[in-house]
Amino acid sequence: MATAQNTETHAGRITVENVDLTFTPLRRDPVVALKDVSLDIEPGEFVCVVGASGSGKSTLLRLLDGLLSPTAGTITSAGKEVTGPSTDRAMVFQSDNLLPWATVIDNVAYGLRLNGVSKKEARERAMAQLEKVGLKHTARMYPRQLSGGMRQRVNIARALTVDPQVLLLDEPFAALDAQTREIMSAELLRIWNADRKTVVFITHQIDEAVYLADRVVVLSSHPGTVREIVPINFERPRELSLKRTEEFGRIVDHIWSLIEDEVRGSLGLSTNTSTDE
Amino acid sequence: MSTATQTKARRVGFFTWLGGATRGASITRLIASLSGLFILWEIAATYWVNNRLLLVPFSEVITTLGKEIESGDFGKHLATTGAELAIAFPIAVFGGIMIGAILAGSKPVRQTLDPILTALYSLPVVALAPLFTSALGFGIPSKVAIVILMAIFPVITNTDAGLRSADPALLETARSFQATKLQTLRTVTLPHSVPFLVSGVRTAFARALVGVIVAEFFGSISGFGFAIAAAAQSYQTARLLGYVLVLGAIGLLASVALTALERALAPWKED
Repeated sequence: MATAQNTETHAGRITVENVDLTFTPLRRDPVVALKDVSLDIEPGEFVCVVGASGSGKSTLLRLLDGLLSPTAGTITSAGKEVTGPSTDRAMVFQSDNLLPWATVIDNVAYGLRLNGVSKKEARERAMAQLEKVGLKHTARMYPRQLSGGMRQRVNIARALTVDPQVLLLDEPFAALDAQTREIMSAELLRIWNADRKTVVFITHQIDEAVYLADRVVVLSSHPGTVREIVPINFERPRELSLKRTEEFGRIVDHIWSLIEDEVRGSLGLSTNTSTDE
Repeated sequence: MSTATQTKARRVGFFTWLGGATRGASITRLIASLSGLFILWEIAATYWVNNRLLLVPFSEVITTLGKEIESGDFGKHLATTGAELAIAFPIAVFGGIMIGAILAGSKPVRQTLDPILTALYSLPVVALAPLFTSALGFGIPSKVAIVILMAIFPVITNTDAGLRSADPALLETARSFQATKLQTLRTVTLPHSVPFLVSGVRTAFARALVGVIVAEFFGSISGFGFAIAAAAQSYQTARLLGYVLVLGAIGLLASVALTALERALAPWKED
């Protein structure tokens, strides 16, 4: 259906149509992780997904990458149905998932090597990418010699090196301390600004989502459905000081109000506004 | 007047160096601990233990060992035990890796063979030594069989465990980059299992050494086990201890060699 030209204009576009995902564990009740999720992501758009734990955020991302298949509905990337992982899309996992036995440069070159790029070329391209994330000097070190923030930057560099049209990030800064996380999100925006790939970014930090995204997708849990899609219209490039503006706070509050009940529920606290005793 | 403080400062420096991680320091520590043991042995045998059946001085053991080497007896025994280990140990390691890989690769096979392997692993195989001697004779073959049986199980278990315990997160990462099964094996599963393998081989060698000596006790015409048994029966404690000392040295050397091998094969796993 899609002509070559059509595919070209679709590069980086992702569509999710009425997707369900039900896990059926052996000898246990099926779990509905996602129910009737629909979402259109424009080429070059930065989309953040937030939701209480159990809302299927990570599951949605694995569906987009092709690591999981939907039980109903369809997902397309660049106009083609997603049936498995592809070079169009690259995943940045929550724990950095670097190979402990490979040096930083070989970790960054990993995706290219798996796709048949020669060692020499893969290393050259990996080195160029490492330079962009400011870690050229760590090329010959092993991951364990790096700090958590540096490892996560290597992890992002590894995904960028395969030159995907879509970057999928699964709470990449969750394990980092608050200060490092601030700097890392500013850093991610800088990298993204350079070539505007499509980004889907999962996080449980609402302020992080609002700071980064063009649109924030709010998922509700059990089962995971799209509760609301909040457009974020701040100018780019964005400064970290944006986080201290009134408008920013208002949007964060709004999103928090959408998921607060569920977070309380997941903690076993009373879910209504009944504060009377 | 400042010489005293200077000497002191240098001494502190020496002990700091000795506690360090340099190769020279670890060799010095090894020599120091061994000579300490030998000096203690010498003193205990000379002034404390008077029963020469139990203990003879270290110096006498070394002299006796020297005579054994001179007479050619030592060389003969070394050749026999060495040949037995040289045949059996590689078979045990190679076979163990093969069987371990098959177990890791196939759940039905693993579930079927697991009880048998567990039983055989926990069995004192040396108890079967007399049977092997009756079946295969006093020569090398019966020892080779026992050593293989002793040494193969830790290799099987560790290979199986190493190949099956790769980090699921790394396997998923490989998959997200479209790794083929072979690529995943080469880049994730195999590197992960290297330390397991080396540790299996280490245990296997210790068991092989015990196996070969005990097997030689039960019927042989030469070998370290034969020499030890013969020395014990004729109350030649110095000779007995001489051969035991050599076995200790072999164990120590093998351990050092395997540590070096692990460093070379798994450089990411420092300390």
